[in-house]
Amino acid sequence: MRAWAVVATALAGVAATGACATNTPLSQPGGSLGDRAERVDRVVVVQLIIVFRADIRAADPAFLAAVSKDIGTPLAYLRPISGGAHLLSATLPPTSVNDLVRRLQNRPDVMDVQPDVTVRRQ
Amino acid sequence: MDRDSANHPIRILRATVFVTSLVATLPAIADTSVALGSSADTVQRLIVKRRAVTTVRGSAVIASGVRALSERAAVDLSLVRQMSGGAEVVMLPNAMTAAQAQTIAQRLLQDPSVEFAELDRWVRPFLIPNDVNYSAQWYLHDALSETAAANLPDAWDRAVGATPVVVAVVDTGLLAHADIDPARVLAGYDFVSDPFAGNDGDGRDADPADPGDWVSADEANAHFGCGTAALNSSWHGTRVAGIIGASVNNGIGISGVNGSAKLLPVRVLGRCGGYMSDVLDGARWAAGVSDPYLPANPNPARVVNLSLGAETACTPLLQNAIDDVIAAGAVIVAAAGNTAAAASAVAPGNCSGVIAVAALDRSGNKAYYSSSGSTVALSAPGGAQYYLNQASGIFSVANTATAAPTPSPGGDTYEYVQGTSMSAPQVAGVASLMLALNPALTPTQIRQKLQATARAFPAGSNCTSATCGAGMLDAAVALQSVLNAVAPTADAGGDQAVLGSMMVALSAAGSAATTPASIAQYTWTQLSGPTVTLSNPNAVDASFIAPAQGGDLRFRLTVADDGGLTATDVVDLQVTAAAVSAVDADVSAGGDSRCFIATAAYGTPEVADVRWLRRFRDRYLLTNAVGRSFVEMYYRLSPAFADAIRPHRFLRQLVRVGLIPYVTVARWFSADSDSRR
Repeated sequence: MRAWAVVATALAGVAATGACATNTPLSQPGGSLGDRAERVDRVVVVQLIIVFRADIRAADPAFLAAVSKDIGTPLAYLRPISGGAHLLSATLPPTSVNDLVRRLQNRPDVMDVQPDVTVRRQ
Repeated sequence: MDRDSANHPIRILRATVFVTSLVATLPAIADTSVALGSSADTVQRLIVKRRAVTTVRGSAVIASGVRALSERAAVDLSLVRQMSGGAEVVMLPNAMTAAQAQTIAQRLLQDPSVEFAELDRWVRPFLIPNDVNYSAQWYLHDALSETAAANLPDAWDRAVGATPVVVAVVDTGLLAHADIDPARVLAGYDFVSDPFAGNDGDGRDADPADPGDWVSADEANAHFGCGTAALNSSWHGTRVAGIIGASVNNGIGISGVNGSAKLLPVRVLGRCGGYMSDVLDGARWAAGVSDPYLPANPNPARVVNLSLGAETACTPLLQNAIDDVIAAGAVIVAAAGNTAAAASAVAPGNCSGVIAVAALDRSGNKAYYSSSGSTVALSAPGGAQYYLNQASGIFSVANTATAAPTPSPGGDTYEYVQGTSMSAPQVAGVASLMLALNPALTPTQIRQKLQATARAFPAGSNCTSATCGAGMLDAAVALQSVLNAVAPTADAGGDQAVLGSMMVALSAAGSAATTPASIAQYTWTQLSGPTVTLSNPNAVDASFIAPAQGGDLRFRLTVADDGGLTATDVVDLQVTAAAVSAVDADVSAGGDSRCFIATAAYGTPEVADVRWLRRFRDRYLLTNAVGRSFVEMYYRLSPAFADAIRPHRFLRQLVRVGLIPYVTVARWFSADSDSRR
């Protein structure tokens, strides 16, 4: 069993340093979108890009507390970003992100909201 | 091919380089010994052929013709000599860029007697770049020898002497490399906010250097979005920057698409990628968008390259950012995606206004991994590899390290890679060459020209316009389309003889741009004569009050189309001190010269019909209460109507027709009045 582990480790090492090898097979260009199978059963910190109505003070703790209570998920304010949007975070299972976005979209003080998705090199 | 063999020095002089004896060379191989009028960087002579001069041999006549050309060109030209084919070589007033000389040539072409006017370029045998690995860069080669190549050699010739353009590489950051001239690298910014992704010990900072984006399997498993496998550092941003702007003809490594481009590194990706919020901030910053939450960017880019993507729709948030970048005047080029599926599902390439680029293999087929579909603007070589570093990929700069970078020059290397990430920077580089030739081109015009000049997919290709966009990137044809743009024509109207103290209208209504361009700006300037104050000097119709003492006045009209091309015309006005006629006596004795609508319709208050109307007003309307009320009401309402009809020739003519009955009545009454006097 231990020998198998050594072999497997060695193979993984070869694969990981594939850039140094000749004729290492490629499935997709580096950083492709489809090679990142994720575990969806854990709780993660998700960032949200939100545009609030102009009169809303998004960083106000009282406002955030009210919104968090209303949507049933604690939100943390991170920072403003360009274009008049704000970055907030929530801790929840990845499978719940779309539901959270829908709940925020239904609020009259939210003009736009979307998950701060991960962008990869192509 | 391994790295050592890829670096092996090769110098190739191809038979096909002598496609024409009039092909000039690259800017970077300008011969410093050139001292004859034109160098590789500048132009000082034009070759002009006029239709009449072929039969003329008298030197005085020729000299007179050059004077006429000088007037048409609005610069001093001097005859160097006549040449074969009935053409003449004329000297420009000074050495200038190719774009400036081209503008003068286009002015000459507006003269119907000029058959052609071209730059007298410095000519030498055409050499491909001396960069030792140029032969490995099949993707840049000419279209005759490489089916899918971007056809750069002829494009480089067309861009001789052009102004450097700033190109932003919004990516993983940039490494120093001997093949990327540090003098052309501008101060960038690191927008990666996540410390794990940033891998440089902090969040955002002013250092866009690439510290490496490697991850161990343990790190990948510990971070959401990283997958499960270990990854080596990609040096992705450096590879992309090399494709765009590696030094050309420096005798080492590779050639960039635009070896004169200024590179602006904007770091938004790190380990396992980066947040879209960082990409949006980075893209806006790159274009110089003013925003309270962004640092100032003293070197805004005209081209923003995004060799990145996320599988998401182009939401209003994303589109707003793209719109901001384009509104700032920057062309935005993005990878179509490596999903082997619909490009419409990959942002930001799926956003409106973005030039999304799909990847071609060396045969002009869609690369097996490339995203495709209606959101793709055009295609460019991205390579198609089946093992690492296969020569069917795109050859560019890299670093030997698999984790933290090995400093240059020890760590410098070159590798073949593939992806739509490698296709996009070729388009970005060509866009920067186009802007170098004509900085006034808008992002929309760049996109239109790139698509209109794209080469058809080869017979048997699996690409169609529905999957791979308008065609294959063709740099040479794209740049020629910029050079071929036809300047607008300026028409300042006919010369006029007018009376002093009267309002004089100048009209540029006869000016026109060449489709699809339109005139974006009018500029009236007084060149000579007693100084007058022009009203609306930047409108199609300007006006002024003629000097009472009379004199000869000359005005120049300059029109500019929305592609930045200009044309000029002049108009002369002979102003005569006003004679004291019966009507003028009325006016000068307290009469009012206002007659808004009729003056607007006729373009001048000095035509007879307008004078009859004024006389009727003064003798019949202003002499009674009802008439005076009517005149007062007319003066309140008519200026707006006059302003509305003034710019439109058709409306002016229509109003003139409508005034005929009133003028007839006014003349009858006024004539009758005169007979009773």
